[in-house]
Amino acid sequence: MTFEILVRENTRMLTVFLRSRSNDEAAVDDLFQETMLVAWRRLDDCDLSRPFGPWLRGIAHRLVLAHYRKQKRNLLPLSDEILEMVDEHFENIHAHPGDTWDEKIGALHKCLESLPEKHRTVVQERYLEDEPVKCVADRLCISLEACKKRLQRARAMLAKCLRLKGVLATGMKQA
Amino acid sequence: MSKDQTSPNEEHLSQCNEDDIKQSSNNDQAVSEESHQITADEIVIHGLLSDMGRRTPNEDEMRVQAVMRAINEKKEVKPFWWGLLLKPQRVALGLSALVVCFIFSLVIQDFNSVHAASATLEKIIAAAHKMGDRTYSIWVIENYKEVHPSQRKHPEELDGARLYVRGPDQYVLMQKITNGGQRLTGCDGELAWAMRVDSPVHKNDKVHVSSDLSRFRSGLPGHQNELPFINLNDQLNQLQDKYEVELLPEAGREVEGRVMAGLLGIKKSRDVGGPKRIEIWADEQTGVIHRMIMDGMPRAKGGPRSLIMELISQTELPVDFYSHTSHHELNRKIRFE
Repeated sequence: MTFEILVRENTRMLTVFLRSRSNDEAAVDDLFQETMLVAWRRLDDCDLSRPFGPWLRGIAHRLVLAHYRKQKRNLLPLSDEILEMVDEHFENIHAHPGDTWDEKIGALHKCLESLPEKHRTVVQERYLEDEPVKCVADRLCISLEACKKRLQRARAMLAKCLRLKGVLATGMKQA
Repeated sequence: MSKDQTSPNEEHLSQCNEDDIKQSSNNDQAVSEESHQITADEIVIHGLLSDMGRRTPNEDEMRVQAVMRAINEKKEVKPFWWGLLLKPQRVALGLSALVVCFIFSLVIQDFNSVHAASATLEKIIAAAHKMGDRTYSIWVIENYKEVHPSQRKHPEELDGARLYVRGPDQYVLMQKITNGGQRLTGCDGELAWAMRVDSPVHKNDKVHVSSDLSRFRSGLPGHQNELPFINLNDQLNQLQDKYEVELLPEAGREVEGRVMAGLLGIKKSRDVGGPKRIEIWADEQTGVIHRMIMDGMPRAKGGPRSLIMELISQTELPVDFYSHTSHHELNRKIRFE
């Protein structure tokens, strides 16, 4: 029962974490299940007096790497510094006021609304309508590179907005 | 979800960060940190947005239920095989608690050390190479859903089978045949052989003999999965190469006066044959494998999903025990293949 509570408390966080690392939904499903089962098997090794999220993400990260190895796909290795920063963001979201994950990241909707229209559009089509970048580029009659750049800029603006609202960790130079 | 969509770490790193990384070695640390921060931001925002677009109603509950269902299935599996190993009255005491009390008493600190796991595995390999006779019982913990009997490739039962092993390449495996009698598969190091015995139907069958030592292994668990079940040396070498091996946290505890080394191997890739998970318990002093559990065997028209191999004896067997002539009448016909 205790473990079920931990699963419930961390389901959305882990799903977001996995979706941040893989665009393959089937892989996200498998990795989610696998991460939780590994965590269950190794629960005795976990210091439950410390936050459970980072430990769970550590397992998930290793499984993601293993998954990419299996797929023989190159995922550029993320440095420890980047992984640490990613973890800080997730921990910051966890500590942000709100009873549920959605409440904690509620500011994301407001940040999306505050984006300039061309950036909001590209985010809307790429993410909320879940279109491949190429399709978004074709629809907007821009080059693939321009589309990627626009998405990148939109994500940076969203990160800045969420940081200002205290959802993301303050970070270093971006503060 | 199409896989042609790139995730931001792929997008971002492929576009700019790869170059940044190359350049950053000559730049100051602040630039590198800023670049890292941008990448970290991108990854998290991508995750949040992807989740927003892809999540389905009731997704969380479905995930929780799926995990708990899988856990409950595994919980059901454990008592079954432990129950096979323990006396009935002990089973009644509660298997999980009993396992903890019965098997383990010490915890080694550096359980997750790859180096320690590798060293332990090497020790087991070295020991296995020069070992005398060992007899193992094989039990099927869990089967895949049974196929129609007519589709079943091997009528031999692995559940309850007995495996005799000597050194690196001598073995005899005795399996019951569902319609009566036994199938014996063996190798004396020079010839591999297979025959049926104690079967009125097959009493006139020939004894099949071959100098190809892997000739008759097709009915064995593991061989079809590129993991020669009976050749422990090969199997352990496969573990080194194709599995992530780590020490089990319970390793170092005492079982019936012996300190046990526990290793867990998780298959590195789905492209590799063999079970997904192998657990080995060996005497830390002698390296003798006492228990080996294989979980997640590739499905092959039903068949075992999980197996356990348990050491039941180290009694010395007759010198010619691994030769086919020890197991059939002298006048039985031999067919060389």
